Amino acid sequence: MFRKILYPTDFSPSAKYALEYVKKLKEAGTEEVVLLHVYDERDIEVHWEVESEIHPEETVEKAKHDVVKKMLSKNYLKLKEIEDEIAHLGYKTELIVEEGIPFEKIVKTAEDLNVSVIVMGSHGVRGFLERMLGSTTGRVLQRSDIPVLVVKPPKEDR
Amino acid sequence: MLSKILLPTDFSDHSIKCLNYVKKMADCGIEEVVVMHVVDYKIIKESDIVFDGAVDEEEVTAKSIAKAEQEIRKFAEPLKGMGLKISYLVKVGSPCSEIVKTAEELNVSMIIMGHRGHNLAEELLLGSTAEKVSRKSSKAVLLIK
Repeated sequence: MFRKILYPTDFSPSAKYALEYVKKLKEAGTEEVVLLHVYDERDIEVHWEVESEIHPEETVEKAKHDVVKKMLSKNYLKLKEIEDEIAHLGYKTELIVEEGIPFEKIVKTAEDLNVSVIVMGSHGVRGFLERMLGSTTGRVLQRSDIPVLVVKPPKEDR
Repeated sequence: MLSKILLPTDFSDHSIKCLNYVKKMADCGIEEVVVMHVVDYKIIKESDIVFDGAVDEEEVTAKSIAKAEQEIRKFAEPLKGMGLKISYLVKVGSPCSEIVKTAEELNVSMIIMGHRGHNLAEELLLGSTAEKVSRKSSKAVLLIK
């Protein structure tokens, strides 16, 4: 039932906690873990201005492109570290780093790779703003036909 | 890891889907399944209908519990013969908080619930019990559509 897991991460504390759960699922029969990080393309708007301050000669397009390239390679390395940790436990692994809208990419990857379950962290608090915008986990829950396992850190860590 | 599962049910098709999921989880190391139903206190309070000839709130509650006690056993019938320990629990109150509370008290490894997925407008107004539980419970919640 949990043979192949999709573990999406934004490297947040709650995603890290979900990773601990993923590690333990070996006992429940998990063999394969797909690690996914989606660089939120909506963050480009925030990041490229910083980039163009450093390199004022660059065009907007070039600055944005550089931001994405930089973020993807930086986050690839971060995810690679996690992959090594997971592979060390005897899991078969696959690593994906992409740019896009996180919840869309998560749902699509889960379907394309035909995973058994998506294991995601959630910080458990939802204020008004988040309710309006929808958290990534909430969005995935709405869209995914594949079961989603929501894992939260213990109260004292939230 | 997954020794004790909490399976809340409202006897809907979504609950049956979850039950079938649990049936397929035999090789995941499950030892015990706690099947639970919450008689929604709000529905009892707001209902004007005479339930099974019951006239006051107290009687409606008592009859609802008795009915749920029977239904929950019928619901969990397919889990029998799998070598699992099965226990039944009927509570009265708000489904979300009773489920969250019970999961803590029994220290379950996972809560398994069905949901249908809302669009944004529905989500803002209502949000399903399953989604609420997944936000409020400190236990791992598996949501199945």
